[in-house]
Amino acid sequence: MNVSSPALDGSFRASAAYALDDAALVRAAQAGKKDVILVVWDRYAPVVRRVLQRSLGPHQDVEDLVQDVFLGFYRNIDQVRDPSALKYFLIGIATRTAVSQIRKNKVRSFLRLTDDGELPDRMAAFDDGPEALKRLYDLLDTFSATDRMAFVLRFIEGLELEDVAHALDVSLSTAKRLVTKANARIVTLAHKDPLLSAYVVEVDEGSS
Amino acid sequence: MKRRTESISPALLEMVRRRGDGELQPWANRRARENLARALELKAKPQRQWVLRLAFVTVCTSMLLLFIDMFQLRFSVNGENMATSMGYVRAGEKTAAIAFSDGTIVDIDPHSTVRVEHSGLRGADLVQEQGRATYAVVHRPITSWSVAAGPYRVRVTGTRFAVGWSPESGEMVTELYEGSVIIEGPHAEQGVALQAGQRLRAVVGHDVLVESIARSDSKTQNQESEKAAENGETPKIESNPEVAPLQTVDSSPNAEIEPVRPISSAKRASGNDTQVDASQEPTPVEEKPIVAPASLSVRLARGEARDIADEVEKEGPETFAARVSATDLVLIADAARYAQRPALANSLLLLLRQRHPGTREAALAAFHLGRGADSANPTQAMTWYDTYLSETSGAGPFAVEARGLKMAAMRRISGDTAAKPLAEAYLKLHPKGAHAQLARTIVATP
Repeated sequence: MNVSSPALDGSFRASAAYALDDAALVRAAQAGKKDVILVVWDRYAPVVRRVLQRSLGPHQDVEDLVQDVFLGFYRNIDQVRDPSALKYFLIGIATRTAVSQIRKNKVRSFLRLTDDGELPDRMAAFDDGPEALKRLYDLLDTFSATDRMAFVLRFIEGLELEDVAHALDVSLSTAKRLVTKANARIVTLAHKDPLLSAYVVEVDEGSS
Repeated sequence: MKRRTESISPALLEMVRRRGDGELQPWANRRARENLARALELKAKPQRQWVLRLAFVTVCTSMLLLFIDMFQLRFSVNGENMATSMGYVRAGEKTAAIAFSDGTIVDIDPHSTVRVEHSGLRGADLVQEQGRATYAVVHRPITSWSVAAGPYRVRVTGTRFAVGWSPESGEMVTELYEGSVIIEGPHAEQGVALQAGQRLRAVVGHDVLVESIARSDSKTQNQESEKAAENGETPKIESNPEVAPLQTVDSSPNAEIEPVRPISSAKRASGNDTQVDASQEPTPVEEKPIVAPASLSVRLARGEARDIADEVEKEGPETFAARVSATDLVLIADAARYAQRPALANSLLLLLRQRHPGTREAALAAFHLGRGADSANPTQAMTWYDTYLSETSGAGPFAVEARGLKMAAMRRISGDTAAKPLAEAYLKLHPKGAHAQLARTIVATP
């Protein structure tokens, strides 16, 4: 396979693939054109990586997980019902991958606690960062995987509630409830932290 | 008017966003993309995922089989100068032992033979072919062990006991040291529950007797067995210094010999547990020595067969047969066989069939006549086995033996091909019978 220029068949040139919209890319992939996945990568790898990084925190190396998301997309290509919603289909896979990783991390931290209860790679990741950032992820670590993803997708990634519901594979009302609960919880916990309490602000309800 | 609520400040959220913007250095992105391309090349097409599913199912099935195999009972045989083949273990001059993977131990006395007929997840089925062996069965929540001795079967949970079996005399003795067992067989079709400290004596064709034992008896018996082994003899099951004069079976209740208590009269605990209800507790172990009754069966059990045969010959078989019952004739015939006087045994059995035709004892005599003729005249033996099966409608206590011996006789006379229909019928009726292994060998012959 020519990686820099995907070797598509004669009727489906690389340049043409890059010109296709999401729906056409999905249909081409469903038709068995494996190289199209690389075009999808070029288009959406940053989005997927961003969701994973923001969900799991800066200490987590997400490159293997990004690969997993695209391989999962390839394996489940036949399950894409709305080809035009490719981006949100990928965010959904990334969300499920992140949920799975959060749960694994909890087990890992339980089994490999250091003296102060933190993993070495996590401590190193925050060495040069603001203390508030570290403390925010400390609070998120106390959330369930689903609540954490609801907070990240809504408040950090900035997705609409409908998209959060789609990514979490829940109903809109459930997504709304999860987001409200996650926000209330993080505000409550932040108030108890002298540093983070300064980062709690009042906003219009609709803008949160 | 909009409601106001609290939230994390946009400034902190922006900090989070900046730390994870999803962008990579171009070289890092190129390498990651190459990795994906390679992975896609290696990946099977989605349409081929059934192959993976099949592989998954295969692996799961293999693991399940491995799991089952891990818990399958295994056994090893220890001892000197012993012979072992196809599950048969015959002790030589010294004792041999079969050690099962669950901790169960079978100690086989010298010159005695035990066969492991089947071992599974829950236990094993053993056959006491000849002589005596002591069984220490480890109790587990689900346990199913059995020991067959001739027509008798000892069903076991967790317990320690000894079984002696003499094919020549048709005598079986079980001594129970711990736990409980149920013994089934002729005259004990419903099962007899034996409790710790009790001994069951059974002679084919006669009533089953339960008596108390002193635990030291087993030591004495072991010593006798070892002595017998030193002389190259098949160990006797037990002997008692008390000698009683010859008389016919006393069927009245006896203070020293407990009447047989069918298992149906005892409340069984749930599952395989054979412990009986406290309200049905058997007669407690008596420490006083047993005084033997003056009955033929007990004298026979004590090894007085030669004396009995002498007395019958002295009186004359015809005269004797004229004055005793069919049951006693069977006993006397047993005594004659045990005393190595086959001609006398045959005469008595034939007299029995003449004088008591159509009785259960007459049918039993047919079986014993078959066994008596088995080695010298297998054709005649087959005729007697057929007679026995016919007269008992194929459901007598020796039906399994009769079919097996007939099959073996046919094989000796005419070979595997001729014996194959008998072997197939045997396996169909008695897949776990004592001759099942032979039957399978015959059936497998092309």
